[in-house]
Amino acid sequence: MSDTSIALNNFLLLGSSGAFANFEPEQLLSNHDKLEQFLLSNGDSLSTLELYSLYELQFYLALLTKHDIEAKAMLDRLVDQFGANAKSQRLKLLQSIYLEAIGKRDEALALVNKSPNELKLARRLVTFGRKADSNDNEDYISTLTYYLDLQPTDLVTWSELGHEYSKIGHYDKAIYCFKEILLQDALIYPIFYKVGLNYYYNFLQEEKNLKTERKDKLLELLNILINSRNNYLRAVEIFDDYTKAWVGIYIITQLGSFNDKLKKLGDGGIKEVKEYLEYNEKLSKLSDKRIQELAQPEEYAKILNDIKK
Amino acid sequence: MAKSSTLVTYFVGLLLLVHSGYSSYEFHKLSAITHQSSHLPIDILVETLVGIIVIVIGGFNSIENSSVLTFDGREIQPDYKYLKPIEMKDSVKLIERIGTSDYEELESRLPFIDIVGKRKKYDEWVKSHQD
Amino acid sequence: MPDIIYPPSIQSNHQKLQRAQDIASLVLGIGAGILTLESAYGFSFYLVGITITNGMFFAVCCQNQPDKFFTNPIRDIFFEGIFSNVPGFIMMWCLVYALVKVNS
Repeated sequence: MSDTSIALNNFLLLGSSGAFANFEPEQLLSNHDKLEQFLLSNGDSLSTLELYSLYELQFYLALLTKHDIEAKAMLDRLVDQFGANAKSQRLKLLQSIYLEAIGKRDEALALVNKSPNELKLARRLVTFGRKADSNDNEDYISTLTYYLDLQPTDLVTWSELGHEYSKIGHYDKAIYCFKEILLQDALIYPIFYKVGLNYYYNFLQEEKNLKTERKDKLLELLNILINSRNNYLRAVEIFDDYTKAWVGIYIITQLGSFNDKLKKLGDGGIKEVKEYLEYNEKLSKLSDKRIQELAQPEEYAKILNDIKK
Repeated sequence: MAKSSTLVTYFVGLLLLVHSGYSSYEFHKLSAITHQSSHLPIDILVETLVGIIVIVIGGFNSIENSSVLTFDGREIQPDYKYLKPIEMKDSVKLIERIGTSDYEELESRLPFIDIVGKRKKYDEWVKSHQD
Repeated sequence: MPDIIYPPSIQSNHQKLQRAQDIASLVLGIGAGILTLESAYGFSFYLVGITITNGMFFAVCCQNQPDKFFTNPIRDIFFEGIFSNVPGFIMMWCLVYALVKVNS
């Protein structure tokens, strides 16, 4: 296939997945410039559907890279095509995001606040509970939970709530949110990874607070760790080249001081601890081997960085 | 958008078929005039068969997987030339290598995007870049 | 644990097989018309031709690992598409036959 259609498919995938929301500024800028060029040279030969999907993508990219005038132009094209008074929630969502971005927060709020029956807009309304420049997201979380009471099948909102809980260290609640997603679709391996990761954070949190070396406390911690490991393992069972999850497993097997404590317990004759440690040995070798196969050192370092954060 | 190699193959194949078809037409007309019935000449037969094979090969050529572009701009070839593996662990490899996944919307959470915060971050990046 | 099947891939593979068979059956129809085959000869020409095409698909496209691409390769490739493509074949066969044999 020609270069044009390869590039087109790339942009369409970028737009439909929304992956650009997590891009670094540099990546955003380069994608914006590339798409601007692409639209200039190939805009005429695209189908309507492709063209307006790309306009929507370019709207976001322009807004994120502070090309406000261009973003407005894209928005106007979309409005011209689909009608200013149309009941399209998608369009209103874009308009509201634009208004919010250029600082007209009240107008943006008014736009999404019109009818509670418009679910996509109601969902956007929830984000107005977010406070700028602070880590206090209690209000935001309570509006999210309120929305989820009304819409318990909305996976994206569950994911958002999970991430918010994870941010403030309520890992148990975050795990609950992610598991809600898995209840609806049991093949979402990135979410299995997230569950494993949050169990791991939970373990770190509990371990820090650990004062005693009592047996039952240690076993409790071990359980958290086993949960974390099992979720990682499920992720690599579904997709066996999932580097992040392999790194997660490797980290769990390399917990020096905690494993020493477990070893003492194991020597004391507790069977499940012994089994865990034996299993650990095997996993440590296996995950190490898989990471060597899959990841470049930079990629590995980046994943480690993400986990430690 | 079809590949040019496919189009060339189709064109050559169709040319062969049209030519052999016209030959066959002339042959039948001739035998009607002379009232001699004989078998179709072997060269028409061969030309038709070659034309069929060429077009079928073109059809195979048209179902090849195209290469894809990753989000950081590298062009990669899919693992298999024609088809896609049906096992999940094999088939999601490609989209993961592009830099996303089928469940990216749960990761990106675009409807919840903190547009003001992201723009601020971009501003900071531009500033740090100018220095 | 059984392998997890990824439906979009199955769909895409079936579409590609379908496309190959579509093209083959139409072209075989043209061929049968040019060769002015009649009755059973035409149908056996179709059967032989489409089976050879399927065999090529099996060998070339599946790279000799058909299990990787189809849940039930022999049935999916060799038997499923044969009858659904007959109408296309007959259409081209009749059309080209009529063109070639006109005023003779």
